[in-house]
Amino acid sequence: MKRGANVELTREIPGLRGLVLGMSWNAGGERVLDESLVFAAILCGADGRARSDRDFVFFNQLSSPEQSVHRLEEALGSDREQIEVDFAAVPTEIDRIVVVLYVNDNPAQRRTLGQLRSCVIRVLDLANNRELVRSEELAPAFSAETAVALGEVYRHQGGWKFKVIGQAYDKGIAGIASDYGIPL
Amino acid sequence: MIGDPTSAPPRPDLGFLRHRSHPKPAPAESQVADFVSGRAPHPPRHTEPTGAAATPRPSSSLDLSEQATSPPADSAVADFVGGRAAHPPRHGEPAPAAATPRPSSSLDLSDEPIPSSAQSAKSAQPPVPALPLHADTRIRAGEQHLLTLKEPTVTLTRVQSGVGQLQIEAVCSPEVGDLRLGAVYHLHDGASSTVQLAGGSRFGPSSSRPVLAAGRDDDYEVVRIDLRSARLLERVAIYAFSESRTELTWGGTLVITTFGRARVELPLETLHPGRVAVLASIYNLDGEFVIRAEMETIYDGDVRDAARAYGYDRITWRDDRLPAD
Repeated sequence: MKRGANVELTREIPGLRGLVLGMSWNAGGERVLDESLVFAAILCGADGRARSDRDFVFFNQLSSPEQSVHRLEEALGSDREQIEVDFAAVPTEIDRIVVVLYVNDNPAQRRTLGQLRSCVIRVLDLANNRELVRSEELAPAFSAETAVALGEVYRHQGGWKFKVIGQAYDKGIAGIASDYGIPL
Repeated sequence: MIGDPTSAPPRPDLGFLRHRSHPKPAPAESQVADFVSGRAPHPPRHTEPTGAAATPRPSSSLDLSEQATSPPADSAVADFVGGRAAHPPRHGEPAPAAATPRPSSSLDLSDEPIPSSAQSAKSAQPPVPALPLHADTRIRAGEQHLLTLKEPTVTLTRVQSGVGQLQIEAVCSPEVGDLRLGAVYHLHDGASSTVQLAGGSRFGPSSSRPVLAAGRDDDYEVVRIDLRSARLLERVAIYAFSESRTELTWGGTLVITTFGRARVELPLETLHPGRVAVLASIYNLDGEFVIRAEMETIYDGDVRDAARAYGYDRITWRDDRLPAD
């Protein structure tokens, strides 16, 4: 899927009850970059913003309060990291779940997404690990940015759609936090 | 009477039951694996900071499980940070009773006794509500918060404890004396040492992947914590000392700044004169960093004695100032 493309997941796969958002990257042996990357999810209301800091799911906060979105400690399968979404548990006031990748701020050893050789997000069926869709290779468009909004899972006519966003941020996670209302 | 599970009403409050209802291609190796992930075996972690951990959810059995798997040390630390226990044992003194109430604490808002060990949590059969480990003095991005000995703690959110870096700066004029800043740390894997710019290690535990780094910004010495490694960190104590071992005229402010530019400030002028003092400590409680004012002059000794006084007893020392490593 190219940037901006979307797919009606629940119409293509009736009975789809949840997703796995699988993140893969290749830092090309750039160890500091590799260890500074963070894959995270933001639960957003109808206004496109998080309700509180609890809506930011990442390595230091593995689940949203109602456990609808959960980051696995160890990815199952070929992905580098995985975040699960259980549709039935997503609160009704949550309109979309945005997944992001960012480089944690490290001024002594500054790294950027432009150093990535590969960056791909894919969507699996939570029930059987079957790959449903995957993004195009996002890495070539990166340069000095330190964060990217990869894609979003969002409600649409009673079902769920997935869209590849691929928008990179010069200001890193601070820029994403500002856009999506994450209290830092 | 035990009902038929196939006809039992749904229990949406029990998250693990919901997850286990997913079709599974392979038999799970354990119930714990089912609990963590409905899809495949997945090892449990003791230190998993789930978002649910601090949420009071009276009916969930997850809370019980989390308490049962917490190591006893956690609650001891929680008691201390929450003001429910006295200072950590000092060398040469008997350990204080853990449950001594401290009337001066502004933190312990709960009247209920806290289970003080994993054993007591295990023995509780019915689901118990998650008790707050500590009171929530919170700070928002851009805000300023003053720590005092009467209100000694502030708790960062898991986002504030895990995004960017935490900067700890000693904003002190030369009138104080030759003040140098350092930090003694303990990681979850047992690694423990100090970082300071004045001799010793600048980086801890290693320079290739530092969790803590000592440095200097313009006029002031600073210790930085890389929060990408927040999961590794168990506790840190920030200390200051006179490089020439002369008595310092304490003054200035310890400023702890989050990635969102929240400032936690600790004025130092009330410290008793001395050569070494422990200024503040940081405890990682279930993913949330609790910053606590210590403000204690160490009269007898140097950095080594300050570290030992705060329970950092796994460090071996070259002399009274620098670890052997």
